[in-house]
Amino acid sequence: MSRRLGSRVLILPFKHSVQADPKYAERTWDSLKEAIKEICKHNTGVLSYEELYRNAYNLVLHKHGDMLYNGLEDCLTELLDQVVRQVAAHTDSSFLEKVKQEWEWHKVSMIHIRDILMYMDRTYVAAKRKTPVYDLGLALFRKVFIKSTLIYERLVNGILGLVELERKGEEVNRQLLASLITMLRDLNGEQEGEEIFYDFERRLLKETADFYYEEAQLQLSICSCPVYLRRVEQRLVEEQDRIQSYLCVNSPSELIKVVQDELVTRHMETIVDMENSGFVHLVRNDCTQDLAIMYNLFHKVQGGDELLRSRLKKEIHTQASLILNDVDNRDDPIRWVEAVICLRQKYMNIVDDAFCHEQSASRNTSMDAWSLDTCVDKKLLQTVNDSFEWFLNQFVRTSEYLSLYLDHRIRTDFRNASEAEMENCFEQVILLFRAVRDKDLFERYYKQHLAKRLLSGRNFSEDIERIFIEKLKSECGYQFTSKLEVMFTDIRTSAEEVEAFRTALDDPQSSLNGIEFQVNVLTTGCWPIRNQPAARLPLEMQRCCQAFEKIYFARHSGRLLSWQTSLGNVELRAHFPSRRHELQVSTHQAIILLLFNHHDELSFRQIQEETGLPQNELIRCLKSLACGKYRILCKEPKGKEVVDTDMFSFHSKFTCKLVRIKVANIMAEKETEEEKRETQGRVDDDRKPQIEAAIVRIMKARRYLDHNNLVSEVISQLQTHFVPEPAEIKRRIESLIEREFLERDNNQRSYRYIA
Amino acid sequence: MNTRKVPQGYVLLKSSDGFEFYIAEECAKVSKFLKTTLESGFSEAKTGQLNLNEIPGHLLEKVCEYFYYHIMYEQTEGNLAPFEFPPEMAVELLMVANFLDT
Repeated sequence: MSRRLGSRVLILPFKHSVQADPKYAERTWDSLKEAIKEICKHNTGVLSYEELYRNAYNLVLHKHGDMLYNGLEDCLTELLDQVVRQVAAHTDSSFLEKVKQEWEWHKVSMIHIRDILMYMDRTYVAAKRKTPVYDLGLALFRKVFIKSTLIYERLVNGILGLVELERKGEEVNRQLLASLITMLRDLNGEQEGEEIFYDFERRLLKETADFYYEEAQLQLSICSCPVYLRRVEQRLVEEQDRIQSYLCVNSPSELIKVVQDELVTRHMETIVDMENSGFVHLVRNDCTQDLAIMYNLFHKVQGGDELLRSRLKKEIHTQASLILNDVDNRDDPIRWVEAVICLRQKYMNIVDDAFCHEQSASRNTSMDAWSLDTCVDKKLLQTVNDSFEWFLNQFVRTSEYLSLYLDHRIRTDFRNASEAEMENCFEQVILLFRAVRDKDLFERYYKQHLAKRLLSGRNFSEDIERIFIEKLKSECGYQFTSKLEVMFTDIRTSAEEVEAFRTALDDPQSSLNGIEFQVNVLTTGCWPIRNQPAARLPLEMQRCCQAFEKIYFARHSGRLLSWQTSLGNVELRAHFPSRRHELQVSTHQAIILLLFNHHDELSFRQIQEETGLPQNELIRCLKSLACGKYRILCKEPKGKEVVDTDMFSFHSKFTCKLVRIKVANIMAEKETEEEKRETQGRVDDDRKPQIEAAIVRIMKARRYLDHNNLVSEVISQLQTHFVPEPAEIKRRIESLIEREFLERDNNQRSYRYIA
Repeated sequence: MNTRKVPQGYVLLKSSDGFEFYIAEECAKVSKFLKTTLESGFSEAKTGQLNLNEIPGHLLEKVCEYFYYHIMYEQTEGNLAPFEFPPEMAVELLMVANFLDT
């Protein structure tokens, strides 16, 4: 029968022997009860702690814990019931104050009661797993007092009423609100029906939403966009302040979100699209401050960023199409590019100044200093860049215009410009260039213009050119600029070549007929030169050329020289009846002028025959000589245009104050449609081998690839130069299959590399 | 109750059989019971006098000794000099300690 007990040893508290009196327990409890009532009347000072503690101690010790605990509960309930009636009798004005006071008194009383019942807390409550005395006191306060029908609604409505009053701009007792709200929070129970604070929060959020709904309705109808934005910002600051000083809610962010939702999110489009003060208006007038406020508000709410981005994109597109459709701009590359740069700068400034959000960076060592970094909104910046990319690629002449603009600035403006100014200009051009998809097209134009600058020899500064080429190199890589570098080298070696040629001649003066002969030897393929048939040169010049060829071939065997007369310049000394002038003309113009050494009058046809110049070129030369600023030739009949029936004669009555005259060659600065097509065609031709090379490179590495992947790889490889058309890639692939570099796999969508 | 003036920083403990002990407040607060007593708003807190009707003088003396012992060695680590008391007092002391929550 013996049951083994666990080896736990129970030590029972020592039994006191005071329990002689059977009524002892009741008597002791009665005295304690009286004491508790005294405590709740704030008469603690007259009671002896030791006595009360001893009584409670003895009660618990003698197993009267239940009686003590339940008695306490009943006693408190009874007392609180009285308090409810007292407080409910107060009018609205002092009601909240009274609640607060009762709460504070109750807390003090409960501390005292807890103190005298300390022993019970330690033993009885712990053993029976009951609520500790103090917490019991709070729970009863909630159950009996706060949740009382006489109190609860009045209390919550009172608090919400005060909050609303303050939102309307009136002074309220913030301390009172703070203690009442803290009270609700401290009294929040975990079981259903006890979550008074959550209930309060829900109602607060609803009140807030209602209040700001009204506010938004009213303000939107009377305010302009910036005023409204400022008001919202102010409201948010106020609300934040309110949260900090008394609305100590569990989720302040939720409250703020409600305000944002009501004031911003709901009305986002209305705000942005306000006529004469909305987003577009602010952007057009560079109101960065207002935009910054707008951005800060919108950035924090869902969908705000997207909306701003879409509006910004739309606005850039609008502005861009204005530039595109402006006839003056379209035909003037310089103005066009300047307008674009200006527009871009404007948006960049706005993004920089207005669209920054604060980013809390790492905390400094000292506690008080938070370093706040502002950080430009990357996505908005991206939007600007994307829009410009779209816009620049929308216009077919972007590459050409950019290069022309650059050419113009380098030739004219930079002589007196500071380095910073130049740097800035280059930077801007590069920024636009970055967005251009057909980089090879730009390269072609740039090369053409660079060649002209290099060969004209005037207004040419290698330093300036090199700065820009360095920029291109860092943008597109070495490959992109290697041919440009060759052009510079050619010019330098040509100078040496001519030097060598001079020294090699026995008698430079006589063998060159007194002509100061200068040659530039250009590497074929690196210069953007159309191979034109050379013009028929006068005898003097031909002899110079022959002399040069002789010596050049002696120095370098196995080379071929072909003369490009279209790119040369000549300085002529002309004897007019009035005085002697020095004329700076192109080689072709010089050839024409030299004809008049032997003839007084020549027809267009005759000139054409003598010089062998193509019609277009001839018309251009004659125009500059007979219809330009300095009319060295007379044309019969007179007129602005040159036609092939005109007669030309030497203008003997020519007068001019200057000794040196530069005859401007009327050159089509901008390409004609025909030339443009030609350039495009040549660019397309250049692209074919590049695309093929890319395909072969990729296939060699991958061996086997399906069509779509191949196309996307080719595009990504060539992106730095241009964006190839998928159709063109397909044609190239087919051509490679024909030439047996690749073969189709059984399933038609894949290719295999054939070694 | 005798309302003698207790010097600042001291408390007066009276045993059930009339012995009186002045001890430093700091030491008295070793007992959670005494600490609460002295910090609450009850009459003892004002006068600084406590009647300990449960505790006879010889025990209270030992208890006070223990308070001082506790304060002295509170910060010391390692081996302490043992607190000595006559073995026959052990049970009574345990009871008192339970009451005083020490």
